[in-house]
Amino acid sequence: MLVARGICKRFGRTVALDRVDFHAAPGEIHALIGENGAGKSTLVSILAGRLAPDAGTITGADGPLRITPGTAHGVAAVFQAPLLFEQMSWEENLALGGFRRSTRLRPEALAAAARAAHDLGFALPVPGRRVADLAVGERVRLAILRALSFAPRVLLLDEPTGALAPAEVEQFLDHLGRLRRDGRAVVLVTHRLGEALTVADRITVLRRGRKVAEVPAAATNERDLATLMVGELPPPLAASTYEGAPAVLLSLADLMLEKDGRRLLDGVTMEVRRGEIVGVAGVEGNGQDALIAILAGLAAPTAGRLLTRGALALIPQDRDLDGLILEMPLWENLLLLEPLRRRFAPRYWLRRRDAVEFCRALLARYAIRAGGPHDPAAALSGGNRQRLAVARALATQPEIVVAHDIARGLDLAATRELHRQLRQYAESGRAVLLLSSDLEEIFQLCSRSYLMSRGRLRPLGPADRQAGRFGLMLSGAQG
Amino acid sequence: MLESFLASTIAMATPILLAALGELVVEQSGVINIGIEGAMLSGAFAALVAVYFSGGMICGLVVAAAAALAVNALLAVLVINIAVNQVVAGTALNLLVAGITGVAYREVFGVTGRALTVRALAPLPLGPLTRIPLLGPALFDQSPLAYLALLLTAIVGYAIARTRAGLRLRACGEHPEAAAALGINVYRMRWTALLFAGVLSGLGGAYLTLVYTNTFVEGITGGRGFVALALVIIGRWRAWGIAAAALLFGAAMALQFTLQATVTNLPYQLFLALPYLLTLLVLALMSGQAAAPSALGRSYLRE
Repeated sequence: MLVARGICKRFGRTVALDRVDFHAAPGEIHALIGENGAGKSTLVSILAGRLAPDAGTITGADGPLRITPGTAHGVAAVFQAPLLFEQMSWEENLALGGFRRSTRLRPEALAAAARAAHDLGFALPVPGRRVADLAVGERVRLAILRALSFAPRVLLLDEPTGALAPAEVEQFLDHLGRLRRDGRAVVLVTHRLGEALTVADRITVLRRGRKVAEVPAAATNERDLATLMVGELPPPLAASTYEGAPAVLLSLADLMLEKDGRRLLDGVTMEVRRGEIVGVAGVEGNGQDALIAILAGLAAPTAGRLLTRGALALIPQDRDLDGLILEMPLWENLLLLEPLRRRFAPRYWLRRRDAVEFCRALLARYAIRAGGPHDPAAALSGGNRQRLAVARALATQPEIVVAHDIARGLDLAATRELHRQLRQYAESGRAVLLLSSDLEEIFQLCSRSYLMSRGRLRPLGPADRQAGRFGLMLSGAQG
Repeated sequence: MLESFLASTIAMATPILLAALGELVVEQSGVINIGIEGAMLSGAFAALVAVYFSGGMICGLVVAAAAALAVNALLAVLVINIAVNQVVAGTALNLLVAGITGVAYREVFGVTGRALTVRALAPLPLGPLTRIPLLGPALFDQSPLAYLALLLTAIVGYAIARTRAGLRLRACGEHPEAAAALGINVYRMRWTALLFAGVLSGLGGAYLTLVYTNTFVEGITGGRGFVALALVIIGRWRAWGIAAAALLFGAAMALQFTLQATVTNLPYQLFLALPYLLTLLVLALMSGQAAAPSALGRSYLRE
């Protein structure tokens, strides 16, 4: 039981939360939805006790809570960027959870973890592997397991399903239903309206830091919720209008990558041409990271050929790797990218005023919610950071853009906006390669697409577009 | 000859190993304790004063530990609670202790020009073990503090790697925010680590006055605190690695004495520099931060 009243929070000049009331009741799943920057993650951080509100009170089952309620008050959370110990093994990360209280680190905790994972339908990673070497999906699963290990009375989940495979999502949502029957309170932050409608009892909508609605899930529908969230939906995307010559900008021929005796990429072949958005669908951990590493020049292929024509810009999946320095102002963050640095610091001196103006224009053009170019990157919400990373990458005018799961954790409107930007960029005669585990995204945006499974690519035809068939393919594809 | 070299190696390694084990625990909690030199120095001075006035060895060790504990408590307030930059605070503390011990020594014992000596902490021969040829007298006729250092190497190493408390400690050094979110009190963990290290560096300091020299001179630690800092890096943040590194340094010290005595046609300063040169060399060769706690040296303040 957790009741928050009149919660206010500001970051610099950005108002993240404005007098928000929220409650998590036992035996209820309460979905929290809203656009990016609406304040969902901030609210979760405050409820979890990671962040102190500027105003407002939080009351737990045992009365008013001071700051940092945490697990001691029966509150456990899975944050959007899971708080994991990168240099430790995943087992040690779990042992820091609530599985077993003993002084020695022994396998009982692991057995308990394995049982919990089985209940959730999760596969556990290879024993002894460091978290730093795990894929994003594996990390999220780990964080969920760890949070559940505390047997929390209140479970806070910030976008937990984004990195899970469809089959896993289903089983996970089932499990949430079981927690509800046990009388626990679950708060689920999600951008998938359908998910909120199926699983939640109650839905609260935030818009720009304010609570705009709290409704029983049975009394609303997807269209109403979307309207509440954004006001109105942007129009769907039209077909590509690029009519120039379809020259090949990126070509992969029989790419192989082997590491520690494991074949991460197995004969990957594809071409990306001017004006195209090519999609690579697939569950995380099937070679996407290896492909990205090769494209980024961080790994050399064991065999095969990679040809690029023109500059390649990468928008990575992990926001920590976005290359934003949180303490630096936004305009300085732009200059972290070499081409922009050359433009605004051609010799010894920084063209500060130009860079600030450029940043201001970029913020406006990409609708990034920030106080201004002088705000530190830390003042931006997760989604807005993502947008800034995209804006910055496109501002260097690369011929090829490689985007990896850029819509993860973004709401409908922000995703559409991002898609529109990418589409426009491709239509201007550049090429985009999009890796995503979101099939809708792939099908909506891409002119051609592939399925990535166990390091192999397989082209997708129109017949594959049936959701059911595809879901099965994906589940089967998961190794 | 070889026997005395071995014995000397262990004798030289003991104080820095004690200090380095404390530093290991502190660094695993995410704090870097540059003030370790000052803590050792305070222990060295306090031990001498206590033994001089009370005559009791136990009293000397306890007072040494308490003095260094106090130094580390001051550091803890600065770097943990007020989040002062850890390098700045540690350096300031080193200067402070160096000044205080220098002044206090002259104040208490006057400037006689004559070295003040106290009774030495007697070695503790381990019965029949000392009769093992070569190794016996070298390894098993040492100061009780040497045995303690060895015992602590095993305990600290095991505790950090294999116990829940060790895991929670590492969690604070790895990602304090995440540790706090899991209900670990990062402040308390770091305080505990610093106090523990205080005791150990105090004992390490006491070793210098009560075992080595039986006297005190200003700056008697002679950079051993910094060597302890280096040992943690050379030992890759592992207790046994640190013990090995301490022995290496101890051997260089012992060798230095032998060389000073036998090679007379070279300036003795060259030999004095040998252990430090060796530390520098090994440190340079063992580059890479891979084993360091990720949040090492980073202040943590609750929001």
